[in-house]
Amino acid sequence: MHTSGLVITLSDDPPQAAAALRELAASGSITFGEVRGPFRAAVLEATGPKAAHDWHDRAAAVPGVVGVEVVFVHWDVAEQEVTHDGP
Amino acid sequence: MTVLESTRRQFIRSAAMTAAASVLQGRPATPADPPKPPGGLELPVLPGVKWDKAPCRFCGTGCHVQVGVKDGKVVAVSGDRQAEVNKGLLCVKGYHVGHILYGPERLTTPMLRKNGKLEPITWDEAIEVIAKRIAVAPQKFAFYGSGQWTIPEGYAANKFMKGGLSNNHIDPNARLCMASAVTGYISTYGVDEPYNCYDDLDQCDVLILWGNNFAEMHPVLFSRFIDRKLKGDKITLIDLTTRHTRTSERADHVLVFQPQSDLSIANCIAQQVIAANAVATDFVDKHCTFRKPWKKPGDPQTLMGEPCSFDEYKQFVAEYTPEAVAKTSGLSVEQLQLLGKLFADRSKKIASLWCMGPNQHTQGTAMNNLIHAVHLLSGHWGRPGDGPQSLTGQPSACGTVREVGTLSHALPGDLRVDKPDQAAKAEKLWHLPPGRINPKVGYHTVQMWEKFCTASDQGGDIDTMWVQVTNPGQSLPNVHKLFDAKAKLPNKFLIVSDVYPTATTELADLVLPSAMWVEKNGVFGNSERRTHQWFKMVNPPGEARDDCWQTIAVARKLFDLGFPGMKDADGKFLFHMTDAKGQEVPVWKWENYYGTVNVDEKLFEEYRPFTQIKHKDVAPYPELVKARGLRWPVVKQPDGTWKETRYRFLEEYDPYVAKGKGVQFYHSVAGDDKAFIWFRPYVPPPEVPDKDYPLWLDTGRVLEHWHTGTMTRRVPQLKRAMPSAYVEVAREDAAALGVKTGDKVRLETRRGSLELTAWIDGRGKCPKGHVFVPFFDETKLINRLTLEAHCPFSKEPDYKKCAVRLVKVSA
Ligand code: SF4
Repeated sequence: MHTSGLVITLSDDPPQAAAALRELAASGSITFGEVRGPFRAAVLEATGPKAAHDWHDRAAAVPGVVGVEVVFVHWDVAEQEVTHDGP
Repeated sequence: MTVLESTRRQFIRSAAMTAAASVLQGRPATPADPPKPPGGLELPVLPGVKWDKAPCRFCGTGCHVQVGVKDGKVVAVSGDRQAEVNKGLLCVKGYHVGHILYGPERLTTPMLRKNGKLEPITWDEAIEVIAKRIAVAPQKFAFYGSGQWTIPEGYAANKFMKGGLSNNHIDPNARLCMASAVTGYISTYGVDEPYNCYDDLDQCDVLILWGNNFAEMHPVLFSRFIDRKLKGDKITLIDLTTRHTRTSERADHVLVFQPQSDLSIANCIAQQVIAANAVATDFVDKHCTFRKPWKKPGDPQTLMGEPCSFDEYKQFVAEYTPEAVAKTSGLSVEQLQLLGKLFADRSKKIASLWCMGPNQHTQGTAMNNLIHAVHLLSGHWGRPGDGPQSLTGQPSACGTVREVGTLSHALPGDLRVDKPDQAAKAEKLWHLPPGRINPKVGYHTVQMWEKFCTASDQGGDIDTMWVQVTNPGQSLPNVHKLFDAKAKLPNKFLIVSDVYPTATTELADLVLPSAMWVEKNGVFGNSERRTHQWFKMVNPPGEARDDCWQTIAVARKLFDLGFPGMKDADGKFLFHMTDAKGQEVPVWKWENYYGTVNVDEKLFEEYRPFTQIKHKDVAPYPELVKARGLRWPVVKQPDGTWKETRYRFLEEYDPYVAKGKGVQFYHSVAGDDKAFIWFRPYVPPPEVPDKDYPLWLDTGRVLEHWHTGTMTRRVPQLKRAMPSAYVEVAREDAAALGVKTGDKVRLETRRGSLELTAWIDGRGKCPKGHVFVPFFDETKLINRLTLEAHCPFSKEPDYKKCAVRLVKVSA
């Protein structure tokens, strides 16, 4: 399991921000926390780093999402050993 | 899932949420609701995880992370909320920084090439091979390092070469990225490195990016600025660029200029400031003098130039009117006037930032001089938020290269090998016999590799090269000539210390496995004069060992072989270290390296007096242990505490400015405490598109990969997000050539060719007549095509512009 603490920055246009939040919430593996201005704390739980990164790609492209920043990440050692291939 | 597992998951989830919520507290929400002190500075609580601080391994921003270790492995990373630089935020590379340690291809044993094949050998054998090669011909040995060396690593390598071997053939890859910034600072202020710091991003009204894709290259700093926009600050972002990038998407003004015309644009700003009667005469008369690059126009330019009057200067820039510059720069008269008007208005605070664009330039020193000049001339200098600052790409380009002086002419503390009084100072501090330091400047990067890749009987007088912490087989310009040619020269011997196989290890005769990042102690120095320290947290894999140990072990082997240079004036070993009881500790033996002495601390404390020579006093090591980096000069206060300096040369902040002076450039070139305002004319580039090679080729980086991708391409998320290099083609050119996204195309220059996949208006958007290729991909070496032409003063090559043609290969 790959767990990320994120700060998501949303548009200052309230309807667009609300629509973005709905779309992000529908992606399943996200839990929202505290709100401050355009910023939302969130936790993403993914099956592994690949799934987490896929989610990031999709989230960053959602209209109304200005940015997704990473503040914390925890991973399982076993997962890290099997998923890191060479170039 | 068991109950235990479920509880563990909840713990981790709650730690992640707490970390995110705490960072939120430190972010500005609205002007009426300024950032609160960051909440919850305590570290996430995770069962069995021990946290410690370290700077991020990647770029020169110098973000701090907290690294979580469990059972000898890094298992978590958190942005450090106590760090002023990043306030808990990390970009996508910082987020993955823990994973770089664990690629399955890590080099774990020394290997010597025998009959064309790399075969494992012991460390003792490896050290002996190197020492014997050096002992036979010490002056034919060269050391090539980088801005990723830690400060103690670079210091040890520099002392070994210049103090031990009397050999100045040591240079870092930073020659390829920030050498022009160094010559720019020295020829303007008399001393290297920015006077200001990242705090300018929080204070400026206008941010001008000079050829700098800030959003992708320094994303955490970019967010710091963009956050201000989000909370409603009325601030303006101007992107002066040769192609549309992610930075441009957020800019208020995107000014796309023709390659090399940045010289004219800067002179045009100066022309307009003068024409508008907006020269800051109060500031300029007191603190600046004017400088021209030659005695008379037409003579060769020199680094330190000649004095000139304001009237002469005014005449020189007079021809750079907006109307004239609009004809060649690609900017409209209105766009040029926008810049001129901004600089003519002192009520607004203007911060200028730049990185590779102006530096990797055949007129790199000149471009740096001109950016400083427009700020000084217009008085946009010296207030927080109002000044020019260069950025670096590597984590310790400032700390290890510029401050430790790992360049072929330099010594620690901004001293030079070719100035007898300065070399004598270094010999005294190193306790060496007088005359030990060779007064002849060594080979700079391009020369060094030319000499190594040329047959010995044809003047190639470097025959052994040791590379640490960098990948020249990919990052050198014109790599066919400067690197690949080694393959045909059997008497040349290449030693490479690295963590993963690279384009460089492919040609190596001896490969040494190195420890990286938190597998060793370290000290880095970032772009804003901030020195930060960390401790080893986990063991390196297999037989991998610290680069610094490798250098000391070779030095000791030479000492044992009777090489005189490895002894100081008293006959003691160059890296003689003693424990608290005064007993010598044989740190050249690996089992003692992390024993009773902290080798990093010993080397750093030995180095520290050098930094006081030019008032760049780094903090004592124990102070760095307590801090998240400190900006030098760090000066002891009457109460015994140590204080960092946010702004140099300003009395309000800098303790070395004499009382009552206000502003004092105390290391000025002319010794008059004044900075130079330079005129540097437009000079055409060495190669321009023509009928055979009709396009401009630009190279650079992308968000996902750092430098040559040696580390980031081992992180599958990053590799997958940007798996291989591509060529960005303008829509108009693609249509004319019948090329679509996904087509295979071949780029050809006078130096080489490369097949790539075309991307029409890709991540960035090139203007018509330009293509862009990122350089991170070791399987697609774009530097086989680039020019080795370089700035005459900094010797930094121009990777940003050469002539190329594009041929469609297949759909
Ligand atoms: S901006 Fe640079 S230092 Fe900061 S997290 Fe990203 S790569 Fe690391």
